[in-house]
Amino acid sequence: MLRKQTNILAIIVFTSVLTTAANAGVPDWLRTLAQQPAKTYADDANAVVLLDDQETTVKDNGEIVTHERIAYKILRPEGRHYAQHSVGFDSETRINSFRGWSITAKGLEYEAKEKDAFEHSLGGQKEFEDTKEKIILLPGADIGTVVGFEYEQKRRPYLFQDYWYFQDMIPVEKSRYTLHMPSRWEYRADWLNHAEQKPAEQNGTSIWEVTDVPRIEREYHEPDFRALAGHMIVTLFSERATHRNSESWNDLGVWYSQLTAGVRDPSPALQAKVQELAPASLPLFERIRALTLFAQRDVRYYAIEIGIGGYRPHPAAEIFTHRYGDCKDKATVLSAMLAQIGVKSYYVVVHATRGIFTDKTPPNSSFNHMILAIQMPEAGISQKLPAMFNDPKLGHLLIFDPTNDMVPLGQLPYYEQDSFGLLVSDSGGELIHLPVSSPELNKIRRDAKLKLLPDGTLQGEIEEVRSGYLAMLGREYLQHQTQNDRKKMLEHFWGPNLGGFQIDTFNLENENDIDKDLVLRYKFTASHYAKTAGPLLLVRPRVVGEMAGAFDVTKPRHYAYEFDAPFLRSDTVEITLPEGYSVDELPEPAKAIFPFAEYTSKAEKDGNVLKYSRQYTMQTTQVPVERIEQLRKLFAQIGTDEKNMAVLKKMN
Amino acid sequence: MSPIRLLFSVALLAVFIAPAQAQKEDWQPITQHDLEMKQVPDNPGADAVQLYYADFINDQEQTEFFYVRIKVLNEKGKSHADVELVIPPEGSISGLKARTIQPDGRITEFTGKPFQKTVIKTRGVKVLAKAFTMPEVNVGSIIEYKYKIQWPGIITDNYWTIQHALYTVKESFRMKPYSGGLEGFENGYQVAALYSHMPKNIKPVQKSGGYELDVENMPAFESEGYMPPEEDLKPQMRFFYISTGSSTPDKFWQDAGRKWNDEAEHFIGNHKEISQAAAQAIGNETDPEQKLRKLYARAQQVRNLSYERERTDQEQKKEKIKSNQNAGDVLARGFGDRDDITRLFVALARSAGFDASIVRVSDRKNKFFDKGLLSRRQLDSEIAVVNQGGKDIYLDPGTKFCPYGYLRWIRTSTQGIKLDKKGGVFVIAPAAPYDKAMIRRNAEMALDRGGNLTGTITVKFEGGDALEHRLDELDTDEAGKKKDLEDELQGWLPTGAIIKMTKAEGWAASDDPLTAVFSVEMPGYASAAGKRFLVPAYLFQARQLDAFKHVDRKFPVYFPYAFGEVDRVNIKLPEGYTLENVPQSQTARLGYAGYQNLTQFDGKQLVTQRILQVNGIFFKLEVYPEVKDFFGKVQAGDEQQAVLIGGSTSAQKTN
Repeated sequence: MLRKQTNILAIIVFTSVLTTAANAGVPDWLRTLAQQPAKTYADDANAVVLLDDQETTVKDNGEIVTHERIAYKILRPEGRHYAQHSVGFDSETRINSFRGWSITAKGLEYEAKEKDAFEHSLGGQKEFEDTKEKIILLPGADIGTVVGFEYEQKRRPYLFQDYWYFQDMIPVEKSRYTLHMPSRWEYRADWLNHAEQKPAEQNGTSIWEVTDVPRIEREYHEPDFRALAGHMIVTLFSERATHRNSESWNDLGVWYSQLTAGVRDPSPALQAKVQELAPASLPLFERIRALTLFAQRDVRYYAIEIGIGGYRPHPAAEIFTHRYGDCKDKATVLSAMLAQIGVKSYYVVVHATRGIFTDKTPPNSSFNHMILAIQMPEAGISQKLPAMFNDPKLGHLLIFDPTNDMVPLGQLPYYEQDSFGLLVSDSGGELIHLPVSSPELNKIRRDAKLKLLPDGTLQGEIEEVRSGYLAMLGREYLQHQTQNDRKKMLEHFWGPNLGGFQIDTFNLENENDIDKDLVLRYKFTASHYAKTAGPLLLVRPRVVGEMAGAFDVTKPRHYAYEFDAPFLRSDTVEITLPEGYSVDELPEPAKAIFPFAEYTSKAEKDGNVLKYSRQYTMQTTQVPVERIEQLRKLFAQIGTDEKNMAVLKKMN
Repeated sequence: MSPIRLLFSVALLAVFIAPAQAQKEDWQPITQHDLEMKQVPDNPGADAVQLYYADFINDQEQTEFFYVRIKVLNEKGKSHADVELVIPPEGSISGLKARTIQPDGRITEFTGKPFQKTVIKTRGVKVLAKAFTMPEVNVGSIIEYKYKIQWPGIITDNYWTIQHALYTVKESFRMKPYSGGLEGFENGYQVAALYSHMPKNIKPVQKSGGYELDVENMPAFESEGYMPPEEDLKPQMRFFYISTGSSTPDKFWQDAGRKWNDEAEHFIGNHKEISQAAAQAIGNETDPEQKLRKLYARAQQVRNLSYERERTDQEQKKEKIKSNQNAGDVLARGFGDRDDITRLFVALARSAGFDASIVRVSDRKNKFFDKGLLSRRQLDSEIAVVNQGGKDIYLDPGTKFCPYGYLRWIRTSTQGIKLDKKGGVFVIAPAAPYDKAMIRRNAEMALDRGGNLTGTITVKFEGGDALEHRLDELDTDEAGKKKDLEDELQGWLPTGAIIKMTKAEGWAASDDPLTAVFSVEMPGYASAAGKRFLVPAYLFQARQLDAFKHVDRKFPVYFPYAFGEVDRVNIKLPEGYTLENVPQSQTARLGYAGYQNLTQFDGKQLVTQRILQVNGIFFKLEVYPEVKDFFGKVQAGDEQQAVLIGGSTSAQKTN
């Protein structure tokens, strides 16, 4: 009996037992694909898309229906999951039909109908949405099996736009997109990450087809899949689609502005709270800060997205009463509160992953996050703020994300920096480039004062000061842990680098004050740090911190290398030597200078103290593939420097 | 255990007992202590504290009532305000009420309607969840909710969860058993209660035919790496219905053993074709052990369906896979699950004159066998025991790739029942010593003047280690196996090693080692210091150091099986270099573990040897300091450096 906690996996397995019909009516299109000659792929290609045939039919009344056939061939055991296919739906995007078939390498055939599918709701613990998934799991999922799925679905009516993704993490042999349109409708096709192809057109039907599309490879720190995969965006135009498409960014802004009209109206309770939090006696910037902190911390993240609720925020008054909401809700309640102190603000819709929207992206609505642009009166600007954007029409706009409660007013989360977002103003919209912070704003400065004992034990204290996004990451890692867990996490983190490492005391400063640098101080003992070799004592002056990034030198690199944001990391280490020992040899200094980054280090002797310092500056968020060889050299030189040792010799 | 159905309605009874129970289900008063609590004792920084938890099982009504009161202590603790309650199949949730209490005592009732989420919906199965989020939750808020699960007409095995993820100030548990008729228990039944891992000061009391327990200040359960299975450490109280007469665990297991024995003996039978197959497998062999090995190999030739992906009924039908009814079927069809193959082996052995029996055993991966827990599911698989020359030889032919004479670790060091007509006797399936799970590594390397190390590494996995690797890789192909072994070697070597597996042998074997050969390049392996090169003398480090990172542990250290490592590394030095210092030999020894390393230098080559043996699986807290100290010595020994002198180094360059 399932009790208290239902085991979903067990049910899925159970379901798979049910999923088959007695007579497998495999359609000819799939049978033909299964019989075509096999091509050769890399030995780690899990499966191949034999055909992805997407057909979109636009009716004159604006109703859109998609019909898709997709077939895979399983090439490896790891590709077995391609025998499972899901289609998302809600009350407005119902599935008209859904079936699947499989043909094994031995010629056995299976069929699954819509009634064999299982459903489950999407969304996690912190959200409720009415979207569900219908999933068909086919039998016969072995190497060589060809699986095929066919479904028809009514499309969401909010915006007249369609997407054709024809590149995947597995190779694609053929992908086709067919558009049927009535006579009074027109379209625009925009290609991304692939050379534009012209369609074959006849009697209101346009067909695009691509063949032998290579897979997107997995690489360390590569851009997001959606920033790399070839796809086409189709925008539909008609009198019926007026203000419900995205011919231009401005049009999209107008649509969103209309959709959100009135949601920022305040309630008396909200107004009273603004007076309490941000009295007029405070300087303007402090009033703004008080309200942004409220939106960050006192409005808990919980998303309720039903139907159009995926796009439209809840009313500010309602959010204020419940004190919870999603990103749109947090931006909305903050905007409503700022208006009460005479500060205007604008929605900025973004994608929380850099690279999906660029200056070349055609107007489209595939954003997934909302932040706010706060129009700063001149009186409110007392310092240069990294998240400030100067708009030619709207003036100084301070971009702020109320959903991230670890990033202070004046800064942007790293994943939104150097990205593009739609600024929604009263009159429309424009795509803006979100500011990038400088390396000096994202620092880790480590100072170590240590003592080496004759038996190789290293003891001492390290102070680590973090700012900018590095402070945010530090807070995410440590802030909500218990003191015991923090200690364990540090031991886990540094332990592998320092033999017999244990934290003696640990202190975290400014963990809740996000406007200040995060400071970690810890005293530690590493009992096997220096290695004895006869009369010599070998000590690595770098002590902690590995700065070289992960890089696979065994394969050619295809894509740019992403960094969270520019940064500046510096270490200063002072090791007092044990009595009777002197420095016999020191590592060579390191100096690696490239257009995008610089790494330097030096070790020196100062009396009975071994001093080591290094600095690593990264100037960019992305190293392009043309400069990857330089990046590889940089990492190699950092890695070598980090391993280098000083030799201490016992004096007679 | 499957849910038990009632023989008749108890609706009338439920009405009579409802008022007394309802009183305990009211909102509890909010105390000053509740409002003032800001920190969890001995755990500063905890995100929340559970002020009150109640679990009232009422089998008379077929309900279970839950009450949760949590205080939010920091920002992270707000997440407890998001609640998702899974509604069990055949059950329903009723009486859900929730509210938020502010630090000033103000109460905000949850008045919304919970969202209904579909956990899973398919033909004949629908599992839903109720999801809701509490209003106005801030640091310092108390959130509480209560609800009742109902299973009309069904009694299930029940348990109380006494230790939670949060520190719990007060807990209240009640259990009222059913008293009417139950399907399958027509001759009467009784409720058995089993409590395990309870702190000494906590003891349930029997009251009015049921059980009650009140607990105060229960710390949060925090897991730890290399700990025994969690289920064996958490305090728990379980209730189950058993037939009248199954009054003692011995009686229960005797009954179970008799049924299993009947099933197994019926399956094994006495078939002519089995005798023929045994004779054919043995051939002219006369040595009893060799005979047995041949019979074991014959049983393992059978296609083992337990290690293939699960197939639907439709697939089984199309692939002509049927359920075997006896050993003859297994032989004739050539396939079977792990128990079928074990029984076939016993049948073959008996027909060749051996004294062979079935032993019903448990899997200690998730939980050790507990004799007091009267659930047959605990002993969920079968192995064989053969008495040969007065000595019991335990064998696991049903585990694919399992070598002769070896049991897979999950079925060792825990009790099982050797079946016989009377039900059987308890035995302990023996664990293998360290030398039955060895890794032998041999490296032939050369160091260049840039500090780069290149060469060939050969890794041999033997016995239990080979078995685990073979089983782990059942779901992948050659490319997957290659990648996984390369990744494993990568994990043993310094960061940045470039590894290519050139050969692997023995994937399909049982008794032979699994051998893999790698070409390896380690840029910057030696570090430069002026005229010297510092070379880590021992290429491989102990893999278990994570278990000993912290000064203190809460739970014993637990390894799956005893193991050993034997390494030999040969590093040819660059021309013109010699060794300024040869690392000293190091040894460490405990009654159950040993370590030794040795370095030699012949003027051109640095040769190191390293042996690590750990002959135990369970290290109590009392011995943690000495085991930690042992592994500290292992680490120090493994990290020794050889100092090279001569030539001029060129490891550090500028661009």
